[in-house]
Amino acid sequence: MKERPFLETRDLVVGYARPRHPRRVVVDDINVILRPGELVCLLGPNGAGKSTLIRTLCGMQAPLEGEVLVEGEPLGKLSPSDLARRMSLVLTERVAVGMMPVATLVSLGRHPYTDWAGRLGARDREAVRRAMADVGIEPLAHRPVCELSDGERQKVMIARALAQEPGVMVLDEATAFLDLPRRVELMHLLRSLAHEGRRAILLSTHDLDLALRCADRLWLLAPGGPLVQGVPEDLVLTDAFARTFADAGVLFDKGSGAFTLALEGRGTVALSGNGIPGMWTYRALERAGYRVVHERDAVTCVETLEKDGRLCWRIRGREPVHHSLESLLAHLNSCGAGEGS
Amino acid sequence: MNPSATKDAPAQEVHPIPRVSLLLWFALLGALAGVFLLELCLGSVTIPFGSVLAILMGDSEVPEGWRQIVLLFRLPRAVTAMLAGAALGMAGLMMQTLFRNPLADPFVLGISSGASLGVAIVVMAAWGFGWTAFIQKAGISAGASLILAATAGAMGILSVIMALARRVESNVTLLIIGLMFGYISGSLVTILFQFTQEQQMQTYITWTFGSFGGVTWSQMTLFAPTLLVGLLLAWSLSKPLNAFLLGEGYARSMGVNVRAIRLWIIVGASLLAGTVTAYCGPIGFLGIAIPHLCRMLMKTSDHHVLAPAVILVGAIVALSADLLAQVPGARIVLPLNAVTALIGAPVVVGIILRRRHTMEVGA
Repeated sequence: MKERPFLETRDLVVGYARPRHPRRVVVDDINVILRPGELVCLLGPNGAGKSTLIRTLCGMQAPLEGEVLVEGEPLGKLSPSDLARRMSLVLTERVAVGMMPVATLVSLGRHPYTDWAGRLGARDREAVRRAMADVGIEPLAHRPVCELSDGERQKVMIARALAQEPGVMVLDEATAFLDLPRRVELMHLLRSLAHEGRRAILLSTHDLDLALRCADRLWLLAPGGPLVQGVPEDLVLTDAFARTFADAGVLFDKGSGAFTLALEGRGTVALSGNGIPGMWTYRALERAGYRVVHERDAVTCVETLEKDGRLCWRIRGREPVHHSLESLLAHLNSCGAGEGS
Repeated sequence: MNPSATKDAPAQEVHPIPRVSLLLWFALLGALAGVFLLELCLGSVTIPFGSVLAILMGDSEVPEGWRQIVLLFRLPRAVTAMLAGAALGMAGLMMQTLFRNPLADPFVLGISSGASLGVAIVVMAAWGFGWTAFIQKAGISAGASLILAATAGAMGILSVIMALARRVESNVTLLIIGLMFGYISGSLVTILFQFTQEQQMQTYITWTFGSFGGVTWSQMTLFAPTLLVGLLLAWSLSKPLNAFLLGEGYARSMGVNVRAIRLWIIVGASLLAGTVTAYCGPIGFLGIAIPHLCRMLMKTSDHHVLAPAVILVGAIVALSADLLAQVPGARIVLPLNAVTALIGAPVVVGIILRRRHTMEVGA
């Protein structure tokens, strides 16, 4: 059975149009679909138009051409409160609401459902309770928001967005100012919210690695477009991922699934060694600008050894033995290893 | 984790909006009744409490002079102070929330500057073109002509701001435009007074001191209903104002029609601040301080709680300021604006230093 998409774009063109100015198209020809139960990450270098696209998708900016359909209805035809029942938002900005208990802030999400005076009925209170439970912030319910850490605050904002009971949640770089453990935690939270609650969640982010591991689908936006979408692994194998970030001075290494700095090459060396020491030696050599190749293609070969229970390194056939990678790299650099090979 | 937080978290239903204790509300009502009666008793002549009650009850045994003082001067003055305090507090609350700036006051959009300009023009005209003779023929008192002038000035600024608010996307832009209008009006007033005599300047300066004493019972028939309508409008905006606490982006995403609500907020705040300025002069400080006092008292930034609190606390603070300005027992009267800032500013500094987060932007 095919489920009705929560969010769909048809030949969407986003950008800016001002009177008496030529219109500026940021991305065109966008045809994407957001389905229930999906966590989608929107990735792209700075300036590619992620924010412009997000703003257009949630109705803060009019599309230049084409249309956005929310649960099958054109975005422009929905009243603000109809839209708010279908889509909720979490933004980058740090909210400062002062002395307000967490539960009260979460209950603001009931805005589109309550009467003009904002009275909360039993159903509203239940939705607030469930939203806080889903995000795991029940113990914070009575704490004032101003006393929370950044990570806790962002969880509160996610709970508020959940209390709105939307089909689609859009998060615009909502994890940007958090530390890595908090970002991992939030990403897993969003994933389970999407999967278990049959919601569609769209997150624009700069966390490429995390997005590759957690997202069900990726939308890749290279500067000037087009928007490419697919399952993360497909996008890696077809090099779409690498192409999106190609200009940024980083290289995407399909082998390791990680980004490397596109450094000036110092030449090639071979590496003999395995396990964890081998992996970190590999990374050290790579960072220092050496390309690690097979033994038969290199003049210099680095070996990892274990002497008296201590890890050490040696360049094959040469002295001395190095007791740290720092000393090994200094030696390699000074003797111009790898050159002319 | 804080052990008390775990203990407090109830297993049963969480009520998202904590209730403010009834005791606090009664205490505020009691304080209001107290300063209201004090205002009637104290002044250049001290009238005993019992006699004031007797006068209010309609007892005719009390000396006629005291009756006159209480019924014709002190009672309208007390009512004016209460309404003006509530109105300025409410207008300040709305502006602080709309602009998410703890420093915003009812006059950030240039309402009082417009009123000042209007008054300056009338004062100037009175000297230059025999305006006084004209308005006396028309049967308008000098006080009423200042009210008309201030209203016209405030409405002029308001209509420009409203026209711009329809077109301008960002609240910050609107704030800057309001501030710039203030500067323009200020410089126009300065230029006008280059051509005036000292006596006219004195009329203007006295007006800028602010006073709750100028509203007569007949003027009250317009003053009071206008402010009551403004207060009700402001109170009814509590729900969208709460949404605005999170910023325009979030407010829109929660279904608030941002432009329409912003227009209503501006109308409400301008109605309140403009009316008070027209009748009482540009009264500073109350509008910025009262919302902060209420946040500290109520420990929340929820407008459903703050709106009634601002009305009560505003009335209490304005009455107290007026009491102090009259220096009970002495023959001198201090300018109201001097008192509000002199007493109030240290209080607000104290609050900020003790509880920094109550002053968070948007709070």
